Amino acid sequence: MVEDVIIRYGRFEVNPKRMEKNIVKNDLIQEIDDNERERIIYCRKLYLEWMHLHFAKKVVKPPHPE
Amino acid sequence: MTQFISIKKHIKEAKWEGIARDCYNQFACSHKMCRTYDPVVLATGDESYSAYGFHTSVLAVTRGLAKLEDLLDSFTFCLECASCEIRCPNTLFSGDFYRYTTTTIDLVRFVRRQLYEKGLKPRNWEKVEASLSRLETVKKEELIQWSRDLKVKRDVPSETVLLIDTFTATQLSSIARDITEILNKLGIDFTVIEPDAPLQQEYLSFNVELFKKNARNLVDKAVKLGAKTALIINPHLLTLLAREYIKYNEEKLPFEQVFFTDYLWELYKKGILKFTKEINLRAAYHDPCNLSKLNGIFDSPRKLLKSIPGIKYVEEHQVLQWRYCCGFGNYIFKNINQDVSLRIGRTRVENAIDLGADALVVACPHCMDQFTEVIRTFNLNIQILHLTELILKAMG
Repeated sequence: MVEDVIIRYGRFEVNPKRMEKNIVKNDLIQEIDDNERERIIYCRKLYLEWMHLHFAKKVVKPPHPE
Repeated sequence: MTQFISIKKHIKEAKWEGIARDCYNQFACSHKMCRTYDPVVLATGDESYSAYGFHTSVLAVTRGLAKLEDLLDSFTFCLECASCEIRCPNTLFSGDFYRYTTTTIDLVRFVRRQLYEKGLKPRNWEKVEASLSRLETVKKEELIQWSRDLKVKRDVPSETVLLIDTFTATQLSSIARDITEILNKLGIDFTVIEPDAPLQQEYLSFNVELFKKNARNLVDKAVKLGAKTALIINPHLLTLLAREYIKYNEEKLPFEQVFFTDYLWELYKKGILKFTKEINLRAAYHDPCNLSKLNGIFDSPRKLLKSIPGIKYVEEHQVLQWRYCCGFGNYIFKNINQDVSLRIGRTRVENAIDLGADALVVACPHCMDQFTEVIRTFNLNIQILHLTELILKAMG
């Protein structure tokens, strides 16, 4: 769990200071720009939209408590 | 159209310690969604060709459990389609949050380069060299032959340049001709540029310096003509300029690169592009990997196709198409694993036939070439059409 977050461009993001402990220490650095992040967010929206279209045709009722 | 930056320092600088940690992240993954979305895994049933398989193999090498040479053939089974990258929960659900994503393509290219530097070449490598050599030895007269009877400007300064890659210019020139006619009909002032030397994504797997040199020459050529907007018709070239140029040449493009569907859709919205002729066709659209998964262009080709009068559009959701590829990938995959390549293409075409489509519409010259070969090989009854052809016809 990441309890230390900041809000940038209206979205949650891990506080970069916290990432220094976990990522930079282990020499895992990825340079990502906002366009790449927007592309991922757009694909996620598409995916979630498809998931809802795909699975919302039938809503299964919970079993009646006996 | 914008550039995308996604650069892992440890892969770029070949730091094996970081690469091992990166690969361990994948190895420790319990989702393994890459196995269910990768077109190669779906066609072969072999999980070693998934993102999980590639990362785990490299992890085994870093731990001394396998030799780098053992990866020679299995690392040719990457289409570079980015299906595993985008569907990986580490990218799709947390990549933007943690600013850390799955980058299988970069890893595969890195391993291929390491093997090539050791003088190791996979089976059928001579076929790859022959295909690249065909493009490299194209003469200037041959390169401009496609526009012999068309009104085009070359070497004339213009803010808009039309980049025609070597493959399209020499092997699928009808696409280049169609887009030129469309732009001429719309009264757009543009200059055509063909690269002096081909800019191929295959170079990133064995000769980065050649890629850098050819990319720099192409960009310089456009800059000299005062280009502010570069119109692109090959999604592979779009990826190389939008994603790889900044990664390897370490500088931003000095002009804006726009894919032709985005450009034409803007003109359609402004009322400049109009469709007057009806085309009665039940058409499905194929998302080219380099356009959709790597550059996030899903909408404009669909909107243009739907706007053509008479077209009955058969929709297949973008997300369902993440698991498709035409099967071409690049010359490395296509020439080395020809049977798998054709099987992947066949799956895609048969799916369009199952949807009841008369035509499968594409927006990539390589998809067009591959699907044409697939329908001929397996005797499938469907038309393969390029979007430019339909747009030109609909313009009347």
